Parts: sequence; structure tokens; C-alpha cells
Amino acid sequence: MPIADFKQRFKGQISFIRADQPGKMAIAFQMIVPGFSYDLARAGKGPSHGWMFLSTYNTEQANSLLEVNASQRDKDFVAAVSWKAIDACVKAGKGRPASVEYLHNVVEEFTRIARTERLTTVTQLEPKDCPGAMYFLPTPKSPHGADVDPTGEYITAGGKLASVIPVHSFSKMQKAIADKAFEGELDGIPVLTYESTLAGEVQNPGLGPLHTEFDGKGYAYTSMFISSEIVKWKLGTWEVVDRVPTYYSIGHLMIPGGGTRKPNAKYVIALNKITKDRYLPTGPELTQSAQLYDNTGNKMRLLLDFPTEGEPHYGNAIEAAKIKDKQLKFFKLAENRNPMVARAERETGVTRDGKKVHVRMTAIRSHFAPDNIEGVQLGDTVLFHVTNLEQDWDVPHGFAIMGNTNGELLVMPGETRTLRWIPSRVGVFPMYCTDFCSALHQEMQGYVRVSPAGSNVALTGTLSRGPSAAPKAGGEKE
Amino acid sequence: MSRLVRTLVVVAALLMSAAYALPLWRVSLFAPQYPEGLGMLIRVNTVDGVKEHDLANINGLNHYIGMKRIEPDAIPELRFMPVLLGGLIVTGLGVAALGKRVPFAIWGTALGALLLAGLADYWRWGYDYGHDLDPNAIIRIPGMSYQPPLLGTKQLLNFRATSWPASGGWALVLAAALVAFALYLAFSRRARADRTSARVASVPFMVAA
Repeated sequence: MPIADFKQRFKGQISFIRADQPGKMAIAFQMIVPGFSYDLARAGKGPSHGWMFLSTYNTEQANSLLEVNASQRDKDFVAAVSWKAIDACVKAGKGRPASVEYLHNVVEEFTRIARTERLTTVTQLEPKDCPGAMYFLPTPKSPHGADVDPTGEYITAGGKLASVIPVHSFSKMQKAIADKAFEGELDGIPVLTYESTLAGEVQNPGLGPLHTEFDGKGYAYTSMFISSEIVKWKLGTWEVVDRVPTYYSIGHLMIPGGGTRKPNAKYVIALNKITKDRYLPTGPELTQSAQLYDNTGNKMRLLLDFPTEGEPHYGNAIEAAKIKDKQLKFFKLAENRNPMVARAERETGVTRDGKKVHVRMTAIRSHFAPDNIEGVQLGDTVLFHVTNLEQDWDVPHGFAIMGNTNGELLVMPGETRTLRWIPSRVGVFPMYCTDFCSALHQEMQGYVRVSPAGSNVALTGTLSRGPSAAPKAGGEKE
Repeated sequence: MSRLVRTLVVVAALLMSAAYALPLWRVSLFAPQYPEGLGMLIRVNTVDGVKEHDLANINGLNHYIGMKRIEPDAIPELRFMPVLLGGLIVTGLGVAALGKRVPFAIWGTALGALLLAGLADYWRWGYDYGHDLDPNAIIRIPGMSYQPPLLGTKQLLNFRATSWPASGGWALVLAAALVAFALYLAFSRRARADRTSARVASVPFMVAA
């Protein structure tokens, strides 16, 4: 298929992932939609619970020079999708199985083993299979993100090329649907008129409005990418009440709990795309920049300008008290169900299974058991199954071996993890702890001897029991 | 023996039985990187941690200074202490039932002697753990020993060690005090001559107990 057929033949899809059972997320169904670009989504709340709001861009369906060709229409859309309606349609058998291919990755909690499953079917449906489940709300211009206020009534969508911030009303949208205030239809999706859903527009907010957070006190805070500022405005009157500069070109912004029904708006954080003169050029790239603002008064006030990892694309915060006293500090060794666990040093050992050598190993401050391994042959694959025996907070151990081409291990207290190592030559190779664990962290090392293939060196794993256990004969001198 | 003395002995015996359920002694350790503390509870039949893994973590730290692992199974006292305590409780109840002064005196003296012996034995174990260190220990500081205090607080390297009787220990202390008071009532001539006033005087004491 030629790329030029993009507009005629490409479709978009929105995947709905169920998250109602802890640890068992899965694709519930997919909606096949017009081939636009679909952007960030927010769930409705209160009266709009059961709906999702997504922004779209490139409704022009350009396939080349998008910066110009995808910026021609003065309005794109906010897609309002009732996932509850689609769920009901799927349950009524309106969906059909589609042949697809995707990977589903799960880390089992008690074995800490990651498994990849290749799945080949998914339930898909089209808007015409489920009337009333999806509508387009015209929105100026190339919006980037749709945000729902704490009451669930207002949906803002900052159009990055728009000169106003449009705010849609959920109740007006419901009325427009009932009144059939449609200006057209796209692939079975009714397009509502702009005026029928519009609650208001924030005039002259600044340039490049992107994302909006809410304080739960009737105000909204929108990031302005081009004019590098946060603009605070009032819901209902749509007037700008405050603005504060950011350094520079803010993308997302964050109020703790700002996306929930009960924000805690003591602080606002700006997450920026450009740094320029904020920090010295330590290289290779400039560090990234973010700002923390006090939001307890009428005026936002800069508290802290801080460097951060790049680029700080998105953030969310909740009150520490919701987590602090419920956190698990380490994995319980007694609950470790990894098949290669060694719960004590006496359970460690080295075994051969054809060309595979399994090393059941433990780590505790500050040694591995065993720490001298012999009998490995060139051509073997060595699997180090390292169990961290610590049962205390914040005592991970690392594991690496020289010549390893894989990622090294970071093993949390009570956890078992496996590193696969294929020795590339004959010799003695050091292995060591790679996470600073104690005053004797650097001494936490050992050696693996690799012999030629067919060698008669016996397979052993040993650990010295210290000078006091050594035989007296020989007269060890200090 | 008066009814009051016999009652005091029965109450003391019942208090002593609390030591089966409650810890006798508590040793707590605090260091800058252990703000939440590590702690050890000495019970009549075992030693365990205040938190689930505290004892294992204390043993893990002790290996740096070459202290022996604290293994409750390796301490014979923890096997016969419950029997000894049971014997004291049963004979105490027997003494109260019998109501004779001489067996009571023998029992009271034995109780005091055994409690003191237990304390001395606990101190001896502490001394042994604190002084009998592996000569090949990772950290060796000439002249330094690590005996925890019997009572009070002591700085041991980076750890502040605190040792006090725990609830079961206080129950034994109170039982011993009651028995001492009962012995006084039973044997003091003045108290015997003026039993009525002693009984009156003892009432607030019993209430306070």
C-alpha cells in the first residue's frame, strides 16, 4: 500500500485497558476510529463519570510535512467517548474478534519473574456498532490534552495553536446530543456544533495553551508553552486572574491531586521543555528545569527552581500520608516463591544441566555464598540465581560479573533475580556487588573459574569460613 | 499465717504467671541510620525481636564486631526457666494453702535467691556476648567490649543501647515486693502484735498494686 493512500485507508484505534483487578491489566476492547492522531485522555468524574475525553490533531490526515499540512484546519476535535456504553455493547455481543499480535508482560509478585505472552486476538468494534458511544466536539486548534475539572462539568482543551482556551460543558454536550445539534458525521461519529457544547472561552490567555490543572476552589491553571508562563483563570467567568513566568517553555504542570475530585492546591509545579541559562552546561545535554510555586495566596510565588531529569514530561502527586504508613519495606523471604530461591546459605549450590550451569547464590552484608566457583567450561551458559537474604529496609545488593553483556542485577531484600552469563574465554572472572551495601561493600566480590570445554575440573561452589575456621597447620602469618 | 499474708502470696504467684506471656527484659538499640530502632525481648523461654526481623538484623550487625550469634536454642536457661518458674508458682500456691510460716520462709527466700541468680545469669550472658569476641572480627578496637547495660543506657560504637525490665519483668519485681512485704507481716513481732493496723495499712497498698 502506498503511503499516499494514508488518508483513504488508515484508521485510528483507541484501546481500553481494564484495571479492575490488581495485577491483571488487560486490553478490554478497541474502538476503530478515523485515522487522526489521538492525544492525551482524561476520565470524566461526577456527572461525566463513564466518559473519556481525548484531544485529536492532524484531522487533516496529512502524511507529509505535518507541521504545515496538519495545521490547516482552524478546529480539530475533542473526542468524547462513553466507555460504559462501549462496555455494554461489547457485553451485548456487538464486538468482533480481530486477528492482531501484541505482547503482554507480567511480573509475578511472589516469584518476581517476568513473563511475556504473545496474544493474537482482541475485541474490536466500530462507532456504528455502538451508536451513542462517541462524539466529536470541534475545538481550536491542534489541541494537546483534554482536562476535566473536579466537578466533572467542564472539559478544557488547550489548542497549542489556538488564541483562546475553549471550555466545553458536559451538561451542554448532553443537551446538544438530545437536540441532535450535529454539523456532520465522520465514520458514524456525530460531530456536534462548536457553539452547542461551548461553556466559554478564556480570551487572551497567552500563547500556546497546553495543559490545565484545577485547584478545586473554582480556578484553573493552564501551561503556556510559547509565552512560557502559567496562567490562572476562573471557571465560569473565564477571566485571567494571575500569571507567573516559567523557565522555559512549560509543557505539563501539576497540582497535587489536580486531576481528581479533591485537589490539594498548596503547590503548583512547572515541568519545562527548555533550560537555556538556568544551569551550567555540565553536558552532554543541558540539565532539565522545573519550578515549584507556592499557591497559598492570591499570587503564585516561585519557591524553588530545580534541575531534574529530561525532559520532565508529566507529573502527578498525592499526599504522602496516603502511602507512608502502608508501604512495604522489603520482600518477605518466607513468601519468596521463586523456584531458584535459596533462603539460607546452606541451600546454595552449583549444579549442571547439560550445557547450563545453575548457581543458586545468596547475598548478605558483605559476601556472596558461594563466592568461588570452579568447573564452568567454555560453551556453558551460567545462570546466577541471586537471593538477597537481607530482611531490612533499603539494603539491596547488586550482582555483576566481568564480561557480562546483559544488564547487571539489582536484588531487593528478600528477592531472587537471575543473571545469564555466557563466558567468552577461559580464565578467572571477578563478580561483585554493584550496589553500595555496607562499609565492606567493595570486599563483596568473588571469582568464577572458566576452564576449556571438556576439562575435568570438578563443579564446585565454595565460601571460606574465615581465618578462625582455617586449619592451624601452615602457620598463617599476618 | 494470716489471711492477708496468704492472699499476698497467692497474688504474687498469679503475678509471676504473667511472665509466661509477657517479656521480661527489653534491650533497644538506636543509631543514626536506625532511627526506628532495633530491639530484643528476653522472654522466659526465648529471645525474640521487637519487630519481626530485629533479632536477625542485630545478629547481622554483631558479626562486624565478632560477637556470637544470639541463638535462643543455644541458651539452656531458656529451656529450664519456664519449669523453674512453674515450680515456684505451684509451690507458692501450696505454701499459701498450707499457711505455715516455715515453708513460707523457705519459699520466699528461694524465690528471692532465684530471682537474683537469674539476674546474675542474665548479666553473665551479657558479659560473655560482649567480651568473648572472634579474634578475627572485621572491626577490632583494642580494649573495647560490647556488653549491654543491665539497667540504663550505654553507647556501644554507633549504637545507643538501652536496657530495662519489660512488663513481665516488672510483674516479677512487683511479685517479689509483695512477698517481701508478706514476709515482713508474717515475721515482724510488731506487725504481728498490731495486725489490725497492718491490715488497714495494707489496703491502700493492695489497691495501688
